[in-house]
Amino acid sequence: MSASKPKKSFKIEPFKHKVEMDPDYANNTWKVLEDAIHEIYNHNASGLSFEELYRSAYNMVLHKYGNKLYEGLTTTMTNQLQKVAGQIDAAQGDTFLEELNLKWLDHNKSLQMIRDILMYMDRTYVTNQNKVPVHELGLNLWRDAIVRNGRIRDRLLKTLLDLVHKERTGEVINRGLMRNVTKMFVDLGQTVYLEDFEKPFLDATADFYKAEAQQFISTSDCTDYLRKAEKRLNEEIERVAHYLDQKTESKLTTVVEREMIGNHMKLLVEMENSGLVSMLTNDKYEDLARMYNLFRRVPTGLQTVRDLMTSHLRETGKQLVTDPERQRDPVEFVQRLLDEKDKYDRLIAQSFGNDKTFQNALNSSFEFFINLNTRSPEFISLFVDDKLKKGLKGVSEEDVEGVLDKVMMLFRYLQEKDVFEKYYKQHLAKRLLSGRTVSDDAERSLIVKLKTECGYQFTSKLEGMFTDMKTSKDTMAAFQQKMVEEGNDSDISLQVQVLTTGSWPTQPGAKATLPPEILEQCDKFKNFYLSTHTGRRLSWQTNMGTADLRATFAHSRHELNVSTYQMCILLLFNNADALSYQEIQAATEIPVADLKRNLQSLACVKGRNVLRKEPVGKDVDEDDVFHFNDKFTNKLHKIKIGTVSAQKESEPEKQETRQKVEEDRKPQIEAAIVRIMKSRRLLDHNNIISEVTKQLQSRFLPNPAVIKKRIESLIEREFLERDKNDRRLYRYLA
Amino acid sequence: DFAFAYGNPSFSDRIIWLQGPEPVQDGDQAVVRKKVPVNSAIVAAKSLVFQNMLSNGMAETDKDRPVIVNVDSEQEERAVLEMLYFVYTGTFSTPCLDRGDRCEELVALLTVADKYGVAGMVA
Repeated sequence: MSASKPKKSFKIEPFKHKVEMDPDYANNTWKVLEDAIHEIYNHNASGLSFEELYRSAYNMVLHKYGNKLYEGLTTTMTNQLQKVAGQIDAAQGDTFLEELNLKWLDHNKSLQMIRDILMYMDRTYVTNQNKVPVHELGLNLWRDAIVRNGRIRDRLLKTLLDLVHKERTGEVINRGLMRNVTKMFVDLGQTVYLEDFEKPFLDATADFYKAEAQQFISTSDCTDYLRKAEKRLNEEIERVAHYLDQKTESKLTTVVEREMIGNHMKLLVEMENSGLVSMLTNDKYEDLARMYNLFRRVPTGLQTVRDLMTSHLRETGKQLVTDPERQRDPVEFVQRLLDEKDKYDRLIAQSFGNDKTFQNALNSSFEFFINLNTRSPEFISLFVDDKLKKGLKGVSEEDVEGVLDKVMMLFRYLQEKDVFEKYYKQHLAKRLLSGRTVSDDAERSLIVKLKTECGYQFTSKLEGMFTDMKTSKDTMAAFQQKMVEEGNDSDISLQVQVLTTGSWPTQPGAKATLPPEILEQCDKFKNFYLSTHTGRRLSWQTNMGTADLRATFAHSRHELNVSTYQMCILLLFNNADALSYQEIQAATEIPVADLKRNLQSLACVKGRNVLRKEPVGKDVDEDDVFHFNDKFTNKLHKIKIGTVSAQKESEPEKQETRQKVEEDRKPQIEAAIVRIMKSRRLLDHNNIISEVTKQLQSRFLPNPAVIKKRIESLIEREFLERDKNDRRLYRYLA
Repeated sequence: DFAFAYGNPSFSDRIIWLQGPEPVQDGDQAVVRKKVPVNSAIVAAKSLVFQNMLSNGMAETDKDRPVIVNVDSEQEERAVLEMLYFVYTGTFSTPCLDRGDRCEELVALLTVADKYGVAGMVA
């Protein structure tokens, strides 16, 4: 409120004063106030009467002497501060900053009192005349008279920067004093702080760390350097907390980061024997985390780290998958991949804060090198095969899931997913038929995972295989019961698995002549089966079965677990002690490759050699003669005779599978072409190629030449035609 | 709200001496006309001038000394007393409207309120 603004509209009489205005009134009153200001600066304020001074100033303003009061204040304070400047300037050496700080605190205190007694002027005259308020005026005068004083300015800055430098080189300084002085800059206004202090301070900082980085880099390895840089960074952050304005922190750290890290990034990560590659190789989690945290602070820092990590990963990965040594054992091969992946997963989690961009780099690197080896799909399937056959015994369910999940992750990197599928189906079939799958749950769990990755079409066939196995069990139970009922009990126990054509990997119709006693049982089953399932056709897949035989040798009796082919061979020796290769072949009609392989496993494997070969040798020849090995012994009663076959496919088999895969791709590519053309109607060659590739890339990468062939085939079959004017354009024919 | 404490020495830590000329002019000698016990916190809460006066390190900061307030006239004296009453109670001892015909009294009151920066007295 104000006396000059009453609510009612009557005129206010001039203030009545007992003492009429004499011309000296203003001068006298001002004199009182001026003396008081001097007294205040001289620390004699306690003797002054606030009421009197306030009243004096009040009266001056009221009597329109506001201007005189304000001008007088400005002059008096300016003079006062000039005196102070002289005192500060006269301070020797170290006392300079203390003197300045002391005078600054004095000035603040005095200014506070002066403002209080002139409060009425601040409220009315200053507001109405748009003058600078007393407090701010006091600060401005201090700024001009002291901080920007020609004799003080440079000395002050140098003193401050020297102190910071001292602290950076390990000396202890008076931080409280520093804080007071920087606080003074802040109090004088942001621009004063920024221009008179912060900017030169940051420049000095840059110079300091530029030199230090140079020195460190020539004397330290990467680990040490980063440790020092981290320490420096923390020191600077602490420095801000201790005696700088909070807003300086980001600017200061930017300077340090730029000088210490940003300008030397490449040099650091590529340092021999201590850079990124060395850290990665030696699992230096802590160092890597430090590198990540420091490099994250500078532009393109993480990119630098990521790029080098990627190229290193690709290089080592390439070596891993193309090293012929490693490809001997597919299980070991895949295990190595998994170990590598684990290593980097752990590393990214522990050191790189699970940074998504690093995870992506890891994934793309794996994708890159896994597909460098065309056998990766086969090996991965073999790995699963191995795990499901034996590796998972005594392992908890969660661990099984873990292994399967990891395998699926590798699977996702594969470009030729259809090749994997092909192998997986083959391996699964073998597992099921030989009864060697350990855990039904694990098998099914993997199929569920495959379903999400490959789609229902693929897994429905796999599921069909499981269904067949179950149905066969029931069928066999019924068959055996019937045999018992009919009194047809035989000492041969036949187990038949009825497999649905199409669900199982197609087998070449490898025929073999079964021994008559077996054949009899087989026919009985055939009759039984067809009597309940009319209209079906059964054909025997002799290449996939197994048999348990009881064999009597000179010294022992054994139960032999052999393949159907081996059974056929061995049963021949019931009637003969020696047979030539040719005779065996004639009697069994087993395909040459299979026969040789089976004979090899019966005669050439130590501890399993129930047959004796003449001449002795590792390989089976067409002129060889085989004897029943009467002297065979083995500690075990039950003996499993495997088939000598490389776990992984031989070169011709590989070619065959490859061919099958290519064959299977044809209809898929055609279907994709038709789908695309049906919706687009008219499209040029390059676009078709790219769209087909896009559609199919989740399963495999189609070869453009193959796509072109398929297009030509479709043109031949009049699904498409070439445009008459532009030969590169194809048109869909409905 | 602090009406109970108004003029009550039990709730006062300072004494305001209203000092001014005698009704009859007696040279320049100022005379203490009234002594009002006040609570420094209550007064300071309502008037920034009193707040600074009682705390900024000058003579009035000394708690053992009376707080001398000079007035130039009886009218101003009444106005200061009325202001102190207002500071404690938030109202006036005499309703505003009753003063309506006494314009000068009202003006003096407003002037004092302005001088000591007591907000809320105008409304």
